[in-house]
Amino acid sequence: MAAFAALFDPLYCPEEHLDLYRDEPGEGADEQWPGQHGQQEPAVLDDELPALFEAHRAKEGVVLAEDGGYGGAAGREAAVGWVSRAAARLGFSALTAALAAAYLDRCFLPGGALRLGDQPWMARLAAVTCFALAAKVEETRVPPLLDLQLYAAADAADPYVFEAKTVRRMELLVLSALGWRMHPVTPFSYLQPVLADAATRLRSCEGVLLAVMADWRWPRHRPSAWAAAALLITAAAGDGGDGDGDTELLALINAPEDKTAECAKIISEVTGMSFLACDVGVSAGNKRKHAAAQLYSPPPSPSGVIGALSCFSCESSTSATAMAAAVGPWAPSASVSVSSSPEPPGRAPKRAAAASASASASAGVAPPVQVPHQLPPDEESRDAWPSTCAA
Amino acid sequence: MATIQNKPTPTAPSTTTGGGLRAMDLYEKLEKVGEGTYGKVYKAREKATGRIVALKKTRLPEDDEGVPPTALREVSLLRMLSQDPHVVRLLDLKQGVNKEGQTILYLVFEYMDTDLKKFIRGYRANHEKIPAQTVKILMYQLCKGVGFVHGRGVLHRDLKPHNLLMDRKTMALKIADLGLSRAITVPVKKYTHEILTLWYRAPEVLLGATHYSTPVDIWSVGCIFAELVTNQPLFPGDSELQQLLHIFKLLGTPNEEMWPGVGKLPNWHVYPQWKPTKLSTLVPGLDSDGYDLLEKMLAYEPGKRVSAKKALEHPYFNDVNKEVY
Repeated sequence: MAAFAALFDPLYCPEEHLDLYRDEPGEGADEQWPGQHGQQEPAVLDDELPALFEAHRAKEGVVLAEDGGYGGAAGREAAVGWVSRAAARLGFSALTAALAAAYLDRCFLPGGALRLGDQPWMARLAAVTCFALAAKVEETRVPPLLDLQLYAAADAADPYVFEAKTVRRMELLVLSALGWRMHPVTPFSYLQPVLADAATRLRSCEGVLLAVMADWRWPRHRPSAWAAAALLITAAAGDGGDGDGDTELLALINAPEDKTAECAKIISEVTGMSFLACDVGVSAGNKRKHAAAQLYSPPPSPSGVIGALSCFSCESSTSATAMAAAVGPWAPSASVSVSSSPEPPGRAPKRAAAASASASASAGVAPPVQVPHQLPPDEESRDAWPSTCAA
Repeated sequence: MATIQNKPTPTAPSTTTGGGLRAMDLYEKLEKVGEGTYGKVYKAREKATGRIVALKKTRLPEDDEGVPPTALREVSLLRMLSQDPHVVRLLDLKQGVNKEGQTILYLVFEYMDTDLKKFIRGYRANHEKIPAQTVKILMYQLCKGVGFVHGRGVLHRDLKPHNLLMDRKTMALKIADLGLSRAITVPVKKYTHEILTLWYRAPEVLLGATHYSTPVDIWSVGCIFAELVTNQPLFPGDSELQQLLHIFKLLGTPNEEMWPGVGKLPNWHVYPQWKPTKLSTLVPGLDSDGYDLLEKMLAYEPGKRVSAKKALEHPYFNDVNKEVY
């Protein structure tokens, strides 16, 4: 019941990432609201969460077991894998990655409104587009489209960087395909309310879900099953779960046990974590959980930046905003973005006259210059995982 | 070359990707009636049916940002929330291009003939008070709409009379303009200062709290409640500091006893120690149940502020015919 004790507001979520506006990096949310944890509102639990989760379950969607879309499982793994890594590199939330994955799946899996060709750059363009949209829905600060790609890139020589106008055209296609419905249910729709005051546990769940999101089986199971599976896995890993509390959380989420078990098995397979509670399992699980968590830690902010930001709080909001943007995590790459902006010679976009915006957008989407010596995303995404599996 | 194709997915309301001329051919603009967070709003007639609608037009700029977050959030949240009778209904979405080749987005809404700001101003101009029962049914609908929005995990963050649309005949009230709304997940780090009206902003936001949630909307509801009763804004500050001082002068300067943790908020300073004024003096014209509810909406400590859902159960609303609204 410990997890329930502090659930004073099911919709209130504590800080997940380092707050650039906080004076002390180590300051906990508790210090700002010291009286808060003592307030219990059992009525909130009884009245609010079951109804909210019922509404979530009614909205969940799963994909039938058809092949195709993305040009195969490898295409999805490349696209969603890129998204997961990009979210980590920019310090975006796990929810942003989950939203982007949901948009990708709704668009490009069988039954979706869009089709993706075989070329690797198409999967990347789709990933960049859905990632940008998810970031704009969910994050408080999002860099311009070109900078977003450069900061997300593994290195400066990433072979695919799309012009802002190309991504923008793709954005409009995706939005139209999704009917502008940008708030699908994700596993975090369940986990964030129930783990609102268990930040460490929530981060563990985020870590295991991020690790498995690129797996081809992800869209074949409901978000509630993935949420429940994450609770099972992290409980077995000894991340602060207690049996009775977890039982109540799982009952609230109310995912079918067989589906939850399947998802837990997939997580176990992908991360190497065991969801059996035994000494060897706990020990090995801890190491692998740590390895998994490391892959998704947000980049640390230098204390100098934090110190600089605290000075700006004395200024007006406008200048504080401007200066905060200037010293944000994306600023160091400004010179790179400038050099990347000009159109490559001889690659002027050819726009056919078209009656509709979609045709125009399709005609205008041209492949970027490919750097031959770089690994294509498929291989990069495969390389990213062996270390985790081998651990 | 590119093999990305767009297949239309039939849904209601539909999203039509077509030429701007085509979108404009469907509607006849009658008059400009206002501006939302990012676009102009027109009263228009649908040519095919003669139905009167509100047309919200925005140009999606050709810049490095892509589709603006405000447009993205408003449309997506409206798609999530429009089913509720107390949120303005989004009837259709048209995506097109104008003569200059720029992308234009048209949001087609049900037409509401006025908003709460105009409604209140009309009474003020006539030196009349809004009838007590009218205040009550408007407040009931507002709490119901906010309860629905919060129940779906969304913060509005810009509740004010201008964003509450009304139908004069039916006294229906609907929440609109979700351009600054967002799904409740991680704490929001910063308000956009220039856009938001200060008068309805919660004290924890003014004090720079980085953790806030549904109570910020309830504070706005409380301010609107008071304004409905008196025809005057309760806390009309003209800067962030003045807004805070205005609140403290009237409700008393908060301290650690009444608001644990207030002293640790980023913008906290030493303030003059004002004593609270009675609500019955600040907002003359309510009965005791009304004052009790208003007090619960304007509690300093966010966790102590009444929720919208709980407000609906308050005795103040006992004589509202709840099946009608």
